[in-house]
Amino acid sequence: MDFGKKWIARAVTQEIKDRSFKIMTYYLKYYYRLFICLGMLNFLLGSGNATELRQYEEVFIDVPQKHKMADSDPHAFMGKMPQDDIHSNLNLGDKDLQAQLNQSVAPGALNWVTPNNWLEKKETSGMRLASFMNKDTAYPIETTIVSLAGKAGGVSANVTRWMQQIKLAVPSMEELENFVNQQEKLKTQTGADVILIDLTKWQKETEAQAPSMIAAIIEKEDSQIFVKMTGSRESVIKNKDSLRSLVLSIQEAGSQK
Amino acid sequence: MKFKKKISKNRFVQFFASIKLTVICLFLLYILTFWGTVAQIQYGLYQAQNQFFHSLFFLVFGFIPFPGAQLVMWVLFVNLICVALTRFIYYSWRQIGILIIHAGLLLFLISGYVTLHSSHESYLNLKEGQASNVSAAYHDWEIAIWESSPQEDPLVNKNHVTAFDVSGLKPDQVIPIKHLDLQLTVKKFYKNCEAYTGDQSNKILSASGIGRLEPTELLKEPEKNTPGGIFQFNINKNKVLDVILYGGEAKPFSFQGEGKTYNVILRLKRYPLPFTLKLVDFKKEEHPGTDMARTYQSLVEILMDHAKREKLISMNDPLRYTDYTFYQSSFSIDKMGNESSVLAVVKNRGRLLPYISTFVTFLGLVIHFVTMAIRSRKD
Repeated sequence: MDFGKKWIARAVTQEIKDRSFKIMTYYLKYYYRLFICLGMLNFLLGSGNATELRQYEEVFIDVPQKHKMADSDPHAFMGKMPQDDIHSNLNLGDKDLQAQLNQSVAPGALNWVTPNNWLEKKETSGMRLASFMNKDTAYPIETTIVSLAGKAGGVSANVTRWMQQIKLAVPSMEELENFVNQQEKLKTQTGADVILIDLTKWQKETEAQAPSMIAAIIEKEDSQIFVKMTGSRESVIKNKDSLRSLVLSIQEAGSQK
Repeated sequence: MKFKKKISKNRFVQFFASIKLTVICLFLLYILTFWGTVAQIQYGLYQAQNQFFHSLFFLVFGFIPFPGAQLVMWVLFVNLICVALTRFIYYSWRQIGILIIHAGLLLFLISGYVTLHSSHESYLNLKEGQASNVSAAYHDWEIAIWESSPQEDPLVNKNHVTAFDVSGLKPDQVIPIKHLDLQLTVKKFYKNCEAYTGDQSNKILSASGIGRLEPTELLKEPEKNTPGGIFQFNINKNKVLDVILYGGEAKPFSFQGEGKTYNVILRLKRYPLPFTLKLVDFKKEEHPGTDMARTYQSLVEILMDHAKREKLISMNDPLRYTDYTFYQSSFSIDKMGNESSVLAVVKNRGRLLPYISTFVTFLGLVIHFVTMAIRSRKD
């Protein structure tokens, strides 16, 4: 221990002590001045301009439709269901029931022309023959094509169910029939009857963001084709012409007018 | 040395070098820490932090002024400097430990300063499969404007956004946005308001059919306030639009000008992140037989220019990247079973400073005790 002390005393001479002391005091002087400058900086930062423009690149990568729907969206279940929401209360795990449902799907492939501003997503299973989304992200919509054998419940029953899905008060049967009669009637390129059900008419103009629907029913001899477009009221209105063009282009594979 | 002698006689320095002032400051900090912690129950975290810790002073019972922690820490800061200038005029090796302790304590106060001015907290809410390179503030708002550009993939949204904070907006304030050929004039702005549908004939446009805004009382919990305002857009100096922007709107307002489509929205302030973060998978484990979450974790993918890597963020294992820390904060599961994870994002430029300060102070204490021990043995 004594050896250590003597060694330190010999090594740290008075000159080294004085020099270190000078260096230390020199840097401490600036060390404290730095803090005073920071104090001044604080006041300067406090008076900054709050409306200063900022620029940044924003990237958001979304997931396909079934993840996109919000909880409150009445169509949120659409992506999960292998069949159309007509079967939402059925036990789809039941093999017999599943077989019956598969039989109800109308046979025969369909062709269509996807509207210019839409993107088609091919469906590989379930009752959906295709689904579409539009490129304009400001007015997002989803459209599906489903084909069912037979009369599929009739027009009024389907309209009633759709109204419930978008939380519209269902009117009396008389009013409903009047509404259906007033809807736009069209014919496809192959001459099939089409009725375009515009449920936005039941909503006020101010309800631009309310969930809404415009659907077309193509009536064929042995089946019905449902083309349903869902989204906010203003989005479906903006895309109505595209829906109309899609519906009119639908025809059975191989058939030509 | 003359300068130091002179300054030690300065009355201002003498006053602030008082050891009594140090004791008073430490006692006030003790009271404020205790009071501020307990007050969080009544006022909430944000309000309590602002009143007790970020303020220079506040009024007790509405008329008794009481110093806030920021003022006390500034006084303590000046006090420590003055003590160093007056008491350690003749620096000596005997006092080196004390000097280092002082330096460490000053560094603590610097850490507080840096954290107050350069850190911010935000959150990132992602569904499985979604990715984003911006986080959202909890209660600060911005007006964001961008020009629509053709998107190659409808699922990938890339926008060059120009934004500004709305906290300091005043009526008739003009904000020129030259690179977009736009000028925005604030006609009315409310920090908290309610939106109503109304007469559309007043020619004020909005993204979601809002006709009028009614200001309401500013609430103590800032996350409950929803701002809104009426703004006039002057496009290329030849087209004028009056638009209502409201914080509750989910969708931007779009308008045309000289062949361009602009989008504008009043939304929670966005903070750009140094990378794009994708939520790959969210896992939740429950206590057996209950719906209570035992643990939950997010598997994320960090997407950078030419590289990507995966990281599992769990409740006690955050993702750290430069000044950013991503904590597992919350989660939600919708009716369809889609899982979303909420990550708290903290950016703090001075996150290492408290550790350095602690080390410096500890070092000073060790040196001081060792020198004291050697001296006492000598004596």
